[in-house]
Amino acid sequence: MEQYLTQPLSLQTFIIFFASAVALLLLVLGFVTYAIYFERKVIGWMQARIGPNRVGPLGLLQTVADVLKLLLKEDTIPKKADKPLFLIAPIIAFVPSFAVLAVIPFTDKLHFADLGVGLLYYLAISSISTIGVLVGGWASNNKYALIGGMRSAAQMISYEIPLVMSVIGVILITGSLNLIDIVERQREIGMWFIIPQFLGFIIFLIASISELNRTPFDLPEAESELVAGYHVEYSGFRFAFYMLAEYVYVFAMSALTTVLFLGGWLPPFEFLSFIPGIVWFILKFSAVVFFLFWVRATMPRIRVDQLMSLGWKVLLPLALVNIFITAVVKEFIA
Amino acid sequence: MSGEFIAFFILSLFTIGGAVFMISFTRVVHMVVSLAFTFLSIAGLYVLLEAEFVAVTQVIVYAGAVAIMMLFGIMLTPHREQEEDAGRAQKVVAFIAVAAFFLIAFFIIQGTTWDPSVHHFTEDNTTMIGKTIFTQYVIPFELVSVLLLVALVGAIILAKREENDSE
Amino acid sequence: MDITAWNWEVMTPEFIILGTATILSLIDLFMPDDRDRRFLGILGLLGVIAAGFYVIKFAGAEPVQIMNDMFRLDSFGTAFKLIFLTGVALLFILSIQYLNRQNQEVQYRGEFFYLVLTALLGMMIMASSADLITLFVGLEVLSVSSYILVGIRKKHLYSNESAFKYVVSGAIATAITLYGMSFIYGITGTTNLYDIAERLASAYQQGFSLMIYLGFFLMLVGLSFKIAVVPYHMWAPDVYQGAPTPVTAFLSVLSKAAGFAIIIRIFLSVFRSIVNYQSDAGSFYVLFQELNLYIAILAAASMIIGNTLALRQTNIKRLMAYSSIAQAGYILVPLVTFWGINFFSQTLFYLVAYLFMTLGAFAVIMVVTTDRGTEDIRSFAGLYHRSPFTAIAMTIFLLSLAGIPITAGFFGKFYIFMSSVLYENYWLAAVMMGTSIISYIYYFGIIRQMYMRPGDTEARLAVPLPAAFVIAVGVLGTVAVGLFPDLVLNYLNQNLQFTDMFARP
Repeated sequence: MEQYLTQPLSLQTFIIFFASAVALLLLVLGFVTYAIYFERKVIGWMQARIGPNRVGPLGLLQTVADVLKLLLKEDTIPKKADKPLFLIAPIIAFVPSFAVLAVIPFTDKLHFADLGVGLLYYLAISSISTIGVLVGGWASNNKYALIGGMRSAAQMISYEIPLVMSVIGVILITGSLNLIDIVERQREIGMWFIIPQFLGFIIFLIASISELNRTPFDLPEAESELVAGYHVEYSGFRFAFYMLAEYVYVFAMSALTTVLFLGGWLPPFEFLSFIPGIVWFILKFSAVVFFLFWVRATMPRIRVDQLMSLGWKVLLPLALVNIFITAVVKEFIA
Repeated sequence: MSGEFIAFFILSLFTIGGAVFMISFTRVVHMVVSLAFTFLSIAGLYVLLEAEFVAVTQVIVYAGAVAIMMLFGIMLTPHREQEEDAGRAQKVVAFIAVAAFFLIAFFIIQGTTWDPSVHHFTEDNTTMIGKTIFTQYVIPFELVSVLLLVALVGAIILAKREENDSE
Repeated sequence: MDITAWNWEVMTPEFIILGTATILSLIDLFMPDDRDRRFLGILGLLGVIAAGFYVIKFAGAEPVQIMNDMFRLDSFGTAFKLIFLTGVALLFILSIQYLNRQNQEVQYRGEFFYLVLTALLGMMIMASSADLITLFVGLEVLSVSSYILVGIRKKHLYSNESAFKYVVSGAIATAITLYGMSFIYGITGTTNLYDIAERLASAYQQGFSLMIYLGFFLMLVGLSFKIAVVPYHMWAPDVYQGAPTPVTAFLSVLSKAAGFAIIIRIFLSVFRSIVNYQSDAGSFYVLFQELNLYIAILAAASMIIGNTLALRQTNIKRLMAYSSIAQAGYILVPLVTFWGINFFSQTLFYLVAYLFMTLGAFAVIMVVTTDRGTEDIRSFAGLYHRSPFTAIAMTIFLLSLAGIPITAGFFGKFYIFMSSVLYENYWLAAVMMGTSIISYIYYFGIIRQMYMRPGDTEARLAVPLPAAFVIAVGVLGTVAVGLFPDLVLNYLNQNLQFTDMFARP
């Protein structure tokens, strides 16, 4: 990224930067719109319902209508709220979710920043969102929002550690933090990291669901306990920002899982390589997204103390064991 | 004017601005949020210095952990919003001391002629950092683990609530 | 280079301390809560003795270094490590007494012992490395351990306050030190002290002199925190008062000695070789003929402030705090007049004397204040009638601290004073003389309480065995060093070639 920064900032390069960012944003918005639709449909089918089917053909325009409704709503600010923080918090939560997408390689050609520390960049930037959630919950001056924000931050911090630890096995095998190198390495050893790093994959999957605040770890927004969690006082487009951040993270995390453990754009078998990489990427990516929805439809929510002890007493030691085994195996094979 | 210069200018502005606001705000949560801005901007400055790994670590450790822990601590403890005013004389003395130090440091840095050539890192510096830490710097590295363990023990025994505590 | 290729054997003492601390923490973890944890102190003591055995075994050998001076075994480090290990051993004996079953203030006894050990590890590293990063990490291990030790009496208001003050001022001092180091690193691009010395000497000629001064001053101010001299002495009285008495003894003797170790190592190694060729008065060594003036000012200010403010104290631990500020000022004097080989033996001689007299004094203070339940100086009233031997021992310690002849403190001060006079630094010698006389007032104030004031009680003061042992060792050490100072000096000069600190193996 240095070469872009050091060259003179001409109008042309600026337009290129801007246009590619806008294109990605539109893509992500499209994804979010239909991910929500898809989620509702999937859960509907699993619960033997039909799901949205009124707005547009097959209900395809349902989310569009929902978004329009959100944007037209009044932007309320509680009287006792801490106004500046209340206004800025959704933005703090959203911006990192979009910024992490910069390092995700969709195929070997189609990617934005080829960063040497790509994986760490993702983990670092995504941790900033926690500040937005926490500050939003605090600034609302509402006990449910505050408890939701606290829970969310505690959960995100606790599960960030096993999340980071679980990918160290992958980093050890690859010898690089660059996400493109990680995929290339999976091509070299001839198998996706889900096989040699199965334990790491399981830990990563559980921790990532928790990082996304999704069921069974959706304690920050447990309706039955907290009304709606940290964004209870938000409405209109500020609420939309929080929702958007959440779904963009679903997009990013699924893409990251695909890249780290499922071989990114690599085909499962060599003879299938005539199909373009982007198709494979989308297929694997969709499978991961579907898995997230599936879990949401089938799992009950766990308790706070269970959540904490799972993170610290089960996942973290397992992740350490995984690192240890990987290091030993690597030492013996090398 | 290169993009690097503009980026440097903006990041410095944020770094210093965050620090100044941190001091001038009266509500503690506002202070921590502006401090988080300073941390992030410093990470940006590291990126400009081609120290990507340090930048990312800065974000993880300071913005991701320290700032959030501070927010937690503030939200979970009762506190008055207005701090007690320090005496006027104390403020004046502190200002004079800080201003004097600033002027001295400023003139010393201004008065030194620096080598203008720029050294670029050609190799993958994250790998280099890893290798150096585990070979040449292994003694301080292991000592740091002792340090962290001591800090952990200390934090637990000083903060742990006793069984017979009345609260 | 492969890390197994180095001679790791020279780090045996450090490994023993690290291992002992680890074992103690594990035993503490798995032991039922209601057990008496004092045997952990005995285990720790054994570890310290074992480490001391290896330090003595390696003493006098050719300097050895590991990994480009990350760790160095040289005579300078060995001497300091002997002081640390002796001090910690005595401190453990004292703590075993302090943490008896009657003491309900310290709930975390196991932690107390292994935090002292980690602090010891930090100090040993501070004495035996020639790399800024390792030295700094050692300093931080010591600092963090002592922050916790100061605050270990959780229910005690003063203890909490002092721990908080200590942490905050310590953190600021660390920041200042690091800021200074960053300038030095920025100019030289290395953290190895010998490389820094070479490059600084040439950088000085190339117009970086002001930058070097800035680094020097920031490091001096930051590191002065550890030895509690002006300008960073303000924390000492409050912290000494609030900390548990064995921890106060630790701070005033061992932590301070470690501070001197790092200061002497860094300043002598780094700034020694800078020469100013451009001056009108001919070329001269910048450290010994220019920067030492500022160290002298700090030393003089510490002596004056420490000794005069001590006059007004009624709390014995606060008084000892101001006294220790003044003592640190004395120990800085040889650094000002550094010239030739005697410097090391003078400093170390004083540190040895200071170790015995201060630890002994704190043992007495601990026994007396625990018995009377107050830390006021009046708690010493009538001590001679209650326990003559304790009173006599305390008298010896105080006379030694004051620098009255035939005690260790006298010769320590005498050598320092003579070095200052020989170096023709008369004003510093005069300050030292004058403030010593002022110090007689408050030291004799305690002695007067012990012999001439009637106490509230005439009951016999029972001195428990461990404390009695420490007091006895203190008296023996103070008197023996005072009677035969040449023995110590000869041992130091013959067995330890201090100048090998400057040699790169």
